[in-house]
Amino acid sequence: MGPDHLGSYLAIAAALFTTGVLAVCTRRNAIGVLIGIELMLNAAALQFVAYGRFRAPLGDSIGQAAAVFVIVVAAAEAAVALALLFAVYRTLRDIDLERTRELAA
Amino acid sequence: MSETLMILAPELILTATLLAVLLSDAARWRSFAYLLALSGTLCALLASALAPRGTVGDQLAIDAWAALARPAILLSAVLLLMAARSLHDDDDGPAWAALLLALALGALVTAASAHLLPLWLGLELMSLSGYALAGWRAGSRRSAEAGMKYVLFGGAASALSLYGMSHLYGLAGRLDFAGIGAMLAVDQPLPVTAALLIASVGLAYKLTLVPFHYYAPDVYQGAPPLAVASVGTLPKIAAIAVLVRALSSAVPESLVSPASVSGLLALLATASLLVAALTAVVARDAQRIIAYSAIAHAGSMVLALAARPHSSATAAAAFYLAAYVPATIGALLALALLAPTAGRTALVELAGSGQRRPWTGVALVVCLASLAGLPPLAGFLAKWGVLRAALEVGLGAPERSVLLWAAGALLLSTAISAWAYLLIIRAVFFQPAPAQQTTATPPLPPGVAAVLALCVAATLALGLWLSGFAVLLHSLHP
Amino acid sequence: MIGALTWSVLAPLLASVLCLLAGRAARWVALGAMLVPLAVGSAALVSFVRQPGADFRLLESYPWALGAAWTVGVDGIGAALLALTGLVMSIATISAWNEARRPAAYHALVCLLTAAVVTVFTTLDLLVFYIAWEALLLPMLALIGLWGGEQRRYAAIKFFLFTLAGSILMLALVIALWVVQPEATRSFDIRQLAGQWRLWESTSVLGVSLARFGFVAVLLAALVKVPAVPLHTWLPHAHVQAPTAISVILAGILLKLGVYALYRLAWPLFPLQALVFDHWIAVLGVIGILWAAWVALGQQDLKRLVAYASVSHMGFCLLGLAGLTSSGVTGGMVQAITHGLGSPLLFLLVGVVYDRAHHRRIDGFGGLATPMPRFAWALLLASLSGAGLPGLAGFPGEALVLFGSYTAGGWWSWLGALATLSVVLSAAYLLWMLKRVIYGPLRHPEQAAFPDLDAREQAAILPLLLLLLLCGVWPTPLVAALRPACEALITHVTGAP
Repeated sequence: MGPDHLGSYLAIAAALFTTGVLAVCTRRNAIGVLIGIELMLNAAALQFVAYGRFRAPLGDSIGQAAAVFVIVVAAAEAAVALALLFAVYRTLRDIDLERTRELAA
Repeated sequence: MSETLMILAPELILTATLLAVLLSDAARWRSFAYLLALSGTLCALLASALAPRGTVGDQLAIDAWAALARPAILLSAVLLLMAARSLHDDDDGPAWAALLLALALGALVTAASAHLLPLWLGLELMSLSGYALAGWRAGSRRSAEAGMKYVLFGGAASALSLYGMSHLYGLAGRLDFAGIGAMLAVDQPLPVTAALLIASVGLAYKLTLVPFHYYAPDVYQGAPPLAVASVGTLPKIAAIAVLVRALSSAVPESLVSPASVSGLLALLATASLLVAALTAVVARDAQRIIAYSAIAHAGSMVLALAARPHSSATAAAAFYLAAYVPATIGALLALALLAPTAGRTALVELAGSGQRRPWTGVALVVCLASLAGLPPLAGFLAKWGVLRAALEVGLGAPERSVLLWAAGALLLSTAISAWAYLLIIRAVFFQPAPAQQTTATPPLPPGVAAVLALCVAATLALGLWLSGFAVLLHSLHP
Repeated sequence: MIGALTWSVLAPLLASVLCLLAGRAARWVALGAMLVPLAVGSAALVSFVRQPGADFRLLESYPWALGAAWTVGVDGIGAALLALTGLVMSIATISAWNEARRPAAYHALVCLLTAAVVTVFTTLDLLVFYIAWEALLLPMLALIGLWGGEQRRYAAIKFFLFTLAGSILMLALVIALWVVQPEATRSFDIRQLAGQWRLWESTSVLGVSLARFGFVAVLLAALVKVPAVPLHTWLPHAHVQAPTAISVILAGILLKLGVYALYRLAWPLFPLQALVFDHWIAVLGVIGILWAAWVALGQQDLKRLVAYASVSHMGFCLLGLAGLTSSGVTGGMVQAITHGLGSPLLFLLVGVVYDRAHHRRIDGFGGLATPMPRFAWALLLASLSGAGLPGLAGFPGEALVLFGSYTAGGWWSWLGALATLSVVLSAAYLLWMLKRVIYGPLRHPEQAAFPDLDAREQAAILPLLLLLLLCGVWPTPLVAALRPACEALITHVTGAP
């Protein structure tokens, strides 16, 4: 069994979230950015479960439900994003965000 | 139980249609996909007009706003499906129709949600289908790049928003708007306010409000025009509807100082209006200009909401949407028809295209003039409503004079962005067509022509039928 | 039962739709529609000549929505401007009789423009006024931008942006005046608003009184349209690039909109502010008179010369209105009407030589009186009228304005004296132009074959010429019709403090 107080879960979630934000902000490779987004989503899901376990009134399962929804949506999002990245790669042979810029004023 | 089924009939019909369309692809009845989607959406439209109001648990609420937003969303979806049917060939049919239906379904869920979880799910449903629509044109660099940018920025905004929601859940113990409102009524601790602000990023992103607008110009420029028409209108209706509900139940004016909420909204509106107008004038692509127009108009709608709780504020936002949606769909369809090469709407490529299709050009001018807010078109009355609400509140209460500044920003933005719209009109009508284009213009696809005519008619009718505004006001504040 | 004034709006509006269906017959439809405001306006003007009064006649009112009402009515000035609109629009239609490029669309747009202009001149409802004021921009943009000359795009867009930017504050004003009224008696009726001016004096908007804000908003919108120096720079471009008929409309009608907005909105709704700002407006008027006349002296292009002369003459309207003397205000409005006869005539004549020579350089002509005697007579009379020669229509307005300034005394007399200088200047540039264009030996042999005015051109030019003579020789009826309304305005404004 893991630690039995809220703080450690929140700390792990915060660490995950920060890592995700950093990845989104600094990665030039689109896959890297996508991984960052997934980390952020998972941080939120973890937090939902943790809050549901420690803070929610008895019998309230919305936290767990939310986590399940998040996992499903994250998977769908990854599928759509990868499909789009694949489309970019097929036309440009590159998924570097700095080098794939054609749209501009 | 049957009560719930009745309330949710439009959503259920739309879901069934979505499944049927997907099956039609598998069953190789591709040519029926659009017919299926259209008839299903029309049924849902009918159901949404007849469905009773009510709530589904604490999660969904069909109140006055949802009751207006649902037919509006479904009607727009019908128009977009009709246009897509005549612009696309049968092979694309099922997938495009399914994506559009999913987008509409997401918009319905978002518009009706009274709880953060369905709100997030609705937003995601809209986003996921929107990403695919934006990146639709296989093999096109620009479309693919638009889709990629959309999915990465959108994913990040949505994840940020979700993180805020999870904190809100922990701090308030609840996710429904009413529960959060009750919590804020007692006390307004900083962490809760911060979490609320982070959670609202997703909505701001969908509304293309500054500073969450940065994806819009690229996405609007690169995506196919019908995709832009879809992601630029349906999510806006839904986001405004849910924003009004959230503001009135999660952040009730009676409990939180109206000046602070309205100040924040007015600030967002001012920033959106000015940033959009100033950047629009350097754009040299028609769809990019439409993107800046979307940002500015989102600013106007939020300005209307900033004037709450004045009775005409929400009606002004509703009327603004009613004017914005047909004008935007019409302008984008006209651009799609005018562009000599599909998907390329740079101003230089549109030069002289009005001579090939003069009536389409006239339709474009009407739509753009409405977006620019010229009387006697719908856009003028929309702007009138927003300004009236802002001035009435701002002149009445000295502590809310920030609304006067925001109204000034609206006027300034109108004057500046008129230049950007003029650039499009100039390219289409005033500039000579390149000499080598002598190929005969294909006849206008009847479906698109019909949708375009409907959009223009709506723009004219809403502008000339002055009492429309009063009718809206009455339906929102019976 | 729809009344005469509503028909004068409806007729051109319906005609614009009919024009699109009529094809080649569009010009007949358009001409027929223009005769309606001409007839109604003339009848109203005659009624004001017979029974002078400051009241509104031909009143009609139908409730609309949003608090606005379709309330139309004309006083002496509205009647005169309505008649002028009908006349100038008919003449513009005749002068564009042989328009070859998309004639149906052209006439439809002119009809649309007419409907908007007639609405501005007849409505007594502030919101309807604003809607019509803005609605005439799009047809004008299209007419200049599609049927204009080489640089038409630039000219059209400059015109559009100047006038749009000028009037954008007016929208805020319209709404602000509405929301500060007590909820039960809110109205957009200009007559009712004029009675409530103390309300906006006492309302503050971000530190200034609403009245000051509103006055500046209307002033800005009006000065762009008049146009007053330094907001006039759109006008020469628009004139030079516009086709002849559109120049005629621009000079004959659209410039009057600015003066009319000052007369109908700025002075009545904000009397105290008018008293505060009147010196500045008069100074702007005199600067416009002199500066534009000076610039006109140096013009090589006939149309630019006439355009700057136009700016110069419109300055008299500002000077007269600002002076708030009975002669001054009446003179300013008379000047607006007579300028609406003289300036279109000059533009028509410039169009005549341009049709033959395909250029407008003054030094590219000479001795045109020999091949084209009727043209020379017309140009002579129109120019002398522009120079303010007594006996022609240019005289009474300017004389009344100058007389008004002198009687006001003090530094108003100095302003009047300065403005008088322009009579010398305008005589100089017009006579010099006459000397080079129609007198002397024929300098360009190919011009010997130029045909004189044909029937269509005479049909467009003769009515204006006759009215020019009539207003010059016998201006009394026109002055009598306009004076009561002007005096009522002065009483309203000077009685305010």
